[in-house]
Amino acid sequence: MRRPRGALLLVLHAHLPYVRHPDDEDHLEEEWLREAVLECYLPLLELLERLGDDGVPVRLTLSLTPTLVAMLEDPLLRARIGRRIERQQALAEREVRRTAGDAGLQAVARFYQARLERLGRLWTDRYRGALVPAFAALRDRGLVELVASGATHGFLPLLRPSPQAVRAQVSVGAAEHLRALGRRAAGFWLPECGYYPGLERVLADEGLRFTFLDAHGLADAEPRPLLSVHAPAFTGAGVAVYARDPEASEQVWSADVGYPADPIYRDFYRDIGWDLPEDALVPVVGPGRPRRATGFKYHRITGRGAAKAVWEPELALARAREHARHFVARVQERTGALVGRMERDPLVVAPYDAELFGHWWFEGPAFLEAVFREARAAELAVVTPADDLQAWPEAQVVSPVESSWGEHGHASMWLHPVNDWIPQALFGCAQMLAPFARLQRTEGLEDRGLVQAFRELLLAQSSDFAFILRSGTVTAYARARVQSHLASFLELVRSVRAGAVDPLRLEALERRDNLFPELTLERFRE
Amino acid sequence: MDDLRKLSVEQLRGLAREHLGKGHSRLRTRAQLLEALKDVVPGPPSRPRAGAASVVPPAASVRVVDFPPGRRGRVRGEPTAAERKPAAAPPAATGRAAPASPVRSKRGALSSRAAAGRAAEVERTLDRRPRPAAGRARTSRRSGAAAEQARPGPAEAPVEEAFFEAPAAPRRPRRVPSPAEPLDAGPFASPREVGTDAPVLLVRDPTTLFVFWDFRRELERGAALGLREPRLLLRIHRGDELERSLELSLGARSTYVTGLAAGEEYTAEVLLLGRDGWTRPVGSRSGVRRLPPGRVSAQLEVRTLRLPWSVPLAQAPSPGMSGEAGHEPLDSPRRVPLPTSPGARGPEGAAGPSGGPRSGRA
Repeated sequence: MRRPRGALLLVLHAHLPYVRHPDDEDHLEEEWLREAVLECYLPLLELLERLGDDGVPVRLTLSLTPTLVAMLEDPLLRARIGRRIERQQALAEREVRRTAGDAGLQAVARFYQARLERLGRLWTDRYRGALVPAFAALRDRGLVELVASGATHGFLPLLRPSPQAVRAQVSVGAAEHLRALGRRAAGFWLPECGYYPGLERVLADEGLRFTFLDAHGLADAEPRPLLSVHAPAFTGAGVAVYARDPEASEQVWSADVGYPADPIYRDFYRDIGWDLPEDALVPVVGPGRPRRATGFKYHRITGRGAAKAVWEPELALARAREHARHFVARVQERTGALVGRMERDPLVVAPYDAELFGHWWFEGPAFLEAVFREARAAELAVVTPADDLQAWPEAQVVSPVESSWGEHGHASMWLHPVNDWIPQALFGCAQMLAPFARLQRTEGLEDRGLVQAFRELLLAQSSDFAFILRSGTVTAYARARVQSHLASFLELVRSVRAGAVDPLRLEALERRDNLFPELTLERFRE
Repeated sequence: MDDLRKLSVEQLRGLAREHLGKGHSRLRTRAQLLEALKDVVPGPPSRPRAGAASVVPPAASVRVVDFPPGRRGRVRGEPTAAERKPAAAPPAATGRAAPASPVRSKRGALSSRAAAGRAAEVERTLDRRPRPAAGRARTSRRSGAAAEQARPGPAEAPVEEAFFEAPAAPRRPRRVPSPAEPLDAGPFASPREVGTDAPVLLVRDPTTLFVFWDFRRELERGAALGLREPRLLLRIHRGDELERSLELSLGARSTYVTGLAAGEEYTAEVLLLGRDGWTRPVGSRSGVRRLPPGRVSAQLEVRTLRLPWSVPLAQAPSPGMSGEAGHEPLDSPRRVPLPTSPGARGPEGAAGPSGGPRSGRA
């Protein structure tokens, strides 16, 4: 056994809810996917490949949720992403012309133009619009460890009254990972880090060997964890749990002291979509469409006031590298102090939403790249859970506690008077579907109807919609989505019961919600 | 219950005949009779029923009904000094229940305005609860809870005692079913085809449970049989002890129960309460739900498991059978302070990180 050394376990959770709207190319919420591809996923692939080519030892843990994978695979959405990139490139040309009189703004416009050309080439020439195989290739190169996640990102502690629903989220998630990425995942990202005691058995049944909790999920475990959040612990089912490091979280997430709050970074909210006259936006958002963000943002955070200074990309990217150096130094400092006291590698587990890097925090991908480069320079190991468990197969056995990484560490974000009708309706629907799953498989239309009902139920379970209802952003959309999926579920189950499945209606629903091509009702069995 | 225990088997059978009607003859043993009668036979009379009309304050949406031993069934307002327990929690339950006289639509749903008001009220109450500020040490969270408990609760309309006085000779329930009031369907009703047999508990945070139910119609009708002007009682049990009873409007389908003890196990049951004090359970009691402890464990036993990566999980040895358990003192050189421990000190000797923002996405 080798001598312990400090290590960083960096986890990115890539997830978007299923926002496919086949009947409307300019749908506002479908735009989330195109923004994320341009701002997060393509830059992430690009930086990982560059690091690999440069011989930097990269070991990134990355979860890709089944809903995101389904959208990245979808031919219709891929075609739309391609067209969106072309529109963005055309917008960049117009912006270069529009800003000709202002050197500061035009430098930014030219930065965007060059960047969009590069990303466009990556999309069309390098990846040919297929990002899922690109992530699998990075895994095969040994740069990334891919982990599975819940089928539709259902918040499992609230699905707990329906054991079939929990099992379905885990089982369908693991199966989709295998189908789309070609290998079984060894680990599982619990949606919203939502854990309850006993969930580990469901993970173990799927052969999943590790997962992640928020700090208190492990820190409050029984018995008290000897090594705090700096080492994994085994649950009774043999599944290892890693706990989020509070300091590493705060360094990136905090709006006050986190790196992304630095005034030199690009301001997320100031966008020409809000600043330019509506006529000028028609080529971007379409005629008669409401304003929306375009991705062309010319200002830096500057301060809390409305007056914003012009963003300077080079300065901002240099600051990201400085922050990465500080981040690595802090990890090294903290783990270094623990090395002498622990008989294994002390870890700092740093999980983040992947979409933070590039979308919310534009300089985030540069930060990530610099973290890997700085870690190499500082001889700080960056590991994945599989690396860690192979090196250190012994751990304390504990019973973690119910927890999440949401507000206040529990379920209050998803269980509130504005959204508590959702778990009640989901419970009722799960009760309706359960008897069909226990029966022999039905044939033909009825079978298809039940599978589509199952699909609709899974989509209604997405934690994102309840989250939106609580956070008060696009609440009308979130409410409509849940109600629409529940209504489709009820319509289908009732039509199966009545022996009157309408094939045209079923086809329409299958076209609208077409994810999980290998879904069967067996996945809903207890 | 104590009073029932004083009765002979013959007397219990007589009560069963009176209260339970058909099927009472299947109850053969004293234990069976006691179990069946405990919820349907009210306690002894304490005061005249004259106060009944003033029991339900018009503005009260949820009231706390306490059943101290021997005083079962008495509606409680502010406890008297004699009954006040040393650490009694304030009436902290909030409900999605409607006010006493809500504007109701055809199906009994609250008008949107009333519903909005209700949601706001619930939200306000939930927001008043002590919340662990991100990064506070656990002690501060506990002291926050203690402060909340010490704080006087919101002013309640005075409630007169002795509502549920039992008639000296229990009346036979009428055989004519009392139609249950239509129920609040909420923004999206659960499918009508199914229903629960028991309330369902969800953990919101270490001191709050969300309880919901949607009983099968025959369960509701059966429970309402013969009850006059039935109302809804939700009983929360902590282990085997009755923790709290909440009276909710008949149309209520869910409620938040706040101010519970972190780390404890709870169950819930729903009953219908008739105007004359009779209660009847609807369905069965919920499954047990344990609240998260909200603090670090006092258990210091260390048991380890060695699970090589090459060994499939299915072949993993049981942790109970492998590894050697040992106790580690808190100041063990191997023990690493928890980031959320009270007074935890970071590895570098400075005060430890304070827990960080527990809000990856919030």
